[in-house]
Amino acid sequence: MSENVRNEVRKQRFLNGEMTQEELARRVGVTRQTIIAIEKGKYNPSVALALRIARVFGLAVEQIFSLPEEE
Amino acid sequence: MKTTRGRIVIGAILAYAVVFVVLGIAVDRAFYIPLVAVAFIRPLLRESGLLSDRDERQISVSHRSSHIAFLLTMALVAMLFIKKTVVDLEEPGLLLSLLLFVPLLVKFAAWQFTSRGRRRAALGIGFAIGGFWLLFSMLAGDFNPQLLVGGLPLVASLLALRWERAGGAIMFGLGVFAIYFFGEMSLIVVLLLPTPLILAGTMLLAGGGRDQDEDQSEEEEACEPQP
Repeated sequence: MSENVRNEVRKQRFLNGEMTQEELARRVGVTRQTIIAIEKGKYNPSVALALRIARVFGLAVEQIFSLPEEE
Repeated sequence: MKTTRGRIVIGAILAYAVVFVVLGIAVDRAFYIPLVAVAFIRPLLRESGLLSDRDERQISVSHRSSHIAFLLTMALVAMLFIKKTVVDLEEPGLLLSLLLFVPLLVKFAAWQFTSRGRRRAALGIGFAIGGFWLLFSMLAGDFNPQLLVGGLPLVASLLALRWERAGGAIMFGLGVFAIYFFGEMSLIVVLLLPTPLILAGTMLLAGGGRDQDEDQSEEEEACEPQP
């Protein structure tokens, strides 16, 4: 079962000097397609990958990834 | 993600393919058979961790598509098996039986080893095969010596709970004995009984109690109060 996880990856890329998907992918060790899938919410990254992405932006992982608010 | 190791593997696979294509053309068409390996070398290397040319999403997608393919293939084979045996009332034949039972056995063993670890998986296989063998021995008739033989894998599994190597050695020996005992019956029986026993016995012999220590430390950690 996969749960939709909201993410701020695209926003953080632009806040960090308009970093390209290719650059982020290279720095966290995945393909650009994986970054695209994460940004579109089609793929939830592993904890390790989420931590690597958070480290690139210098943020805590929950500042980038969060669960949708329960209604 | 193209890595140097990935390129070397692709080069080696291409060289392997070329060699067997040439041999197939020049010497004998039987040399085409090893070309089947070309399709499976890279996935097997990835599963064993020797090749890491894909990221986690690509691996996840690959696993999911393989799982769907497995389920559909098994459903198709099971339908053919049922048609042959229940509807047509015919013997299923060796090929159809292998197509049905080998993937199920591999699936069961892989699930056991992946989710439960080497020692617990080996014990699980020992108890399952022992129970299966004992049940069939009991169904064969009243109390007889065969019943005792059927219970031996269970005894070996129980023994392995305390003395892993001793239990593993008995399990391995029983597997070898079973090949001699059932070998002339059919390949299916050999696949169902001795092969898993030899596999489980080897795992217990090779491990020599390392996982037991890991299991115990896990239990100890679970008992520790959380801060």
